[in-house]
Amino acid sequence: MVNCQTVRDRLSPYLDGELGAAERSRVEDHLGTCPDCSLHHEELKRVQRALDSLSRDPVPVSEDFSDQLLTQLRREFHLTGPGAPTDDTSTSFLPETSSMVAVLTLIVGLLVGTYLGIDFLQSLQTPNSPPPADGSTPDSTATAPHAPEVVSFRDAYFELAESRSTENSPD
Amino acid sequence: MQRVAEGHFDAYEEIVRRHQDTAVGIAYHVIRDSDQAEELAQEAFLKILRNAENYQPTATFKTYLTRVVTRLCYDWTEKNEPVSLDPQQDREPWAAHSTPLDDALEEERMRLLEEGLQELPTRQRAVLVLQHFEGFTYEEIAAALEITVKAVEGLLSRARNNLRESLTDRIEI
Repeated sequence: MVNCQTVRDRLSPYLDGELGAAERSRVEDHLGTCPDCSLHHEELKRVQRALDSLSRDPVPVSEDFSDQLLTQLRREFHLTGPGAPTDDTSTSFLPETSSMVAVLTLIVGLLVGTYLGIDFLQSLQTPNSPPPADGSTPDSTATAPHAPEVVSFRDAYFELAESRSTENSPD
Repeated sequence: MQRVAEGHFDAYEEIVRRHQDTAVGIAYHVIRDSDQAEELAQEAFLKILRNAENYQPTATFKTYLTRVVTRLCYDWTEKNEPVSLDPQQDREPWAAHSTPLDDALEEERMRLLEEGLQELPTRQRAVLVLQHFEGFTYEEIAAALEITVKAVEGLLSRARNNLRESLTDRIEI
């Protein structure tokens, strides 16, 4: 035997069809014998119907809702243009982290490249290293005047090649 | 969302367009302010994208979005209670063929229902909105709000009883 309060607590899931068969049966048995709970049930059903009538109309959404949002997203994530494609199929929206990684990778790459270049130059200084084939300055020196002076690696290479050329030239 | 988490912005555009009505609808029914509802919905989409790298596909996107939107609504209502009446909420009478008296009674009943909804505590209103207006099951509501099914039952039951009391006190429903 269930009491009125227990049944009233179960009326909401009962209305939503969320009760199991046994519990539903107990509620229905009680509603059939208790006028007060039956009235309570009827009132809840009316509330339900009233709410149903409210929910008939969809909530209007501004036509430019998504455009506004996407504009804001592009601004926040430093993207340009609609979709801001970085290739034909996709667009990255994680520029802050990915660009930092790219910059760090570039710096590390330059450092490693410089280190390897110096290593290479040092290897050229060994006695077994072959001199230039004709004992002269390499043809590539022809472009040297146009090369930027800041390219120390290239300058160092030409300087070394020149000194070796001098050492191996016949007296 | 997996594609979004991998940095594909175009995938998020599609998600926004597919779920914007849900987000605005939930926010609107909870806070009862149409302009603010759109702002909160936009904030929810932004918040999700900001955390896209941490997204775990343990729930559907709709569930995840609902969680974010309702939390924003809770925060907003805490700062803005009591909720004001929204003039855009005025609804057409639901009865298609009714007399002017019927229309007037219906309008009054709807107004009282609106007032009753606005007087509900925010969490009760949120659960009621998800169940009635968005058609969520108890399990879906529990997942979205990160509460138990039992808690959903309790909140929903209290919400309906509060509405029942506020309406029966003032009008024959």
